[in-house]
Amino acid sequence: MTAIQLLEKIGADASFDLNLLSEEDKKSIEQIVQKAQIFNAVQNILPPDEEEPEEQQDEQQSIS
Amino acid sequence: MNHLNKVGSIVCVGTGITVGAHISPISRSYIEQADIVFSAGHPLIEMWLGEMNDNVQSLQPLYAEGKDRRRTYREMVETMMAQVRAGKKVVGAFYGHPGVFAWPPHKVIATAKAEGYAAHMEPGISAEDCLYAHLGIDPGNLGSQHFEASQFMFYKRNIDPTAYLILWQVGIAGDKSAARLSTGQAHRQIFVELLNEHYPLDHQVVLYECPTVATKQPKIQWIALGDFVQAELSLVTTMCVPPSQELQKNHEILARLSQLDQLD
Repeated sequence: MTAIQLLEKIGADASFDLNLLSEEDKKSIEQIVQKAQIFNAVQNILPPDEEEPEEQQDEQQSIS
Repeated sequence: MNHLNKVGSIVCVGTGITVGAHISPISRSYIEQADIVFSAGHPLIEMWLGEMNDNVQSLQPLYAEGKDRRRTYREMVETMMAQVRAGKKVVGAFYGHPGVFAWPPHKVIATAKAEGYAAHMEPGISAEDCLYAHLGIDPGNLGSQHFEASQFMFYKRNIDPTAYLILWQVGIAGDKSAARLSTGQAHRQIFVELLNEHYPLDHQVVLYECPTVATKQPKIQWIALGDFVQAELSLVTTMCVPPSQELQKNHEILARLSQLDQLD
């Protein structure tokens, strides 16, 4: 099993025992977790006088 | 012009926050059956999507430090719509819930519908859902107010200190540029002063982060409000402010309701 497959199984299988992971599995999981940098997906909100009118309306609706 | 029954389609689904744990069966099915899956989320979530569909394309490269995010969002919508217009079964897979703190999914669905394509959204487990579970808060108990942290600063809001106050994206609180990955202590100081109008500086608040992988524990850090300026934050940190005041009875309404009961 690849590291991401292991992570999927750990997330989805309530009976999965983390203690049964081999040292190699633990290492591969830690490696991809470390490798995955903080992603850039924040939703920005601007003051009304600095927004484009159309975008402002759309973005206000999107968070309501 | 609106043409019905066009071949292309788009479904925006939520992956949930934690790999493997939070996705709904129907969202997974859409991902598995899609011609192409666009992803905007945590890199691990994108790797996981690759296990469900061989044709996953990340939208993350459209982000860039210093680039106005509104431009990025529009590019995301156009990237997805190009495949819809090409007649593909398109899925947009978004971290958490696709309709929460996410402009492109709402926009791409509205655009596709306006052009006559089938389009809809499937919910996912959001950070808000995880927060209730991990902090043991029932929003139906005392009520809760939610604001994006910057919007909370930009506009005058009516704060109810008898309910929970949940502030999202506190790591970029006060960012007017739409391009920063964090704001500094000066911004946070203003944020604290704003909250201090309603809560004392020693009021205990929680900084919360839901883990992306089930091998990690959620971050639950209690701090005094006044210590927020120096707190360690990330882009996904949420602040939960418990009530500082007790509920006040509305005697006038209670009396009117009692009168109604007497009529029964």
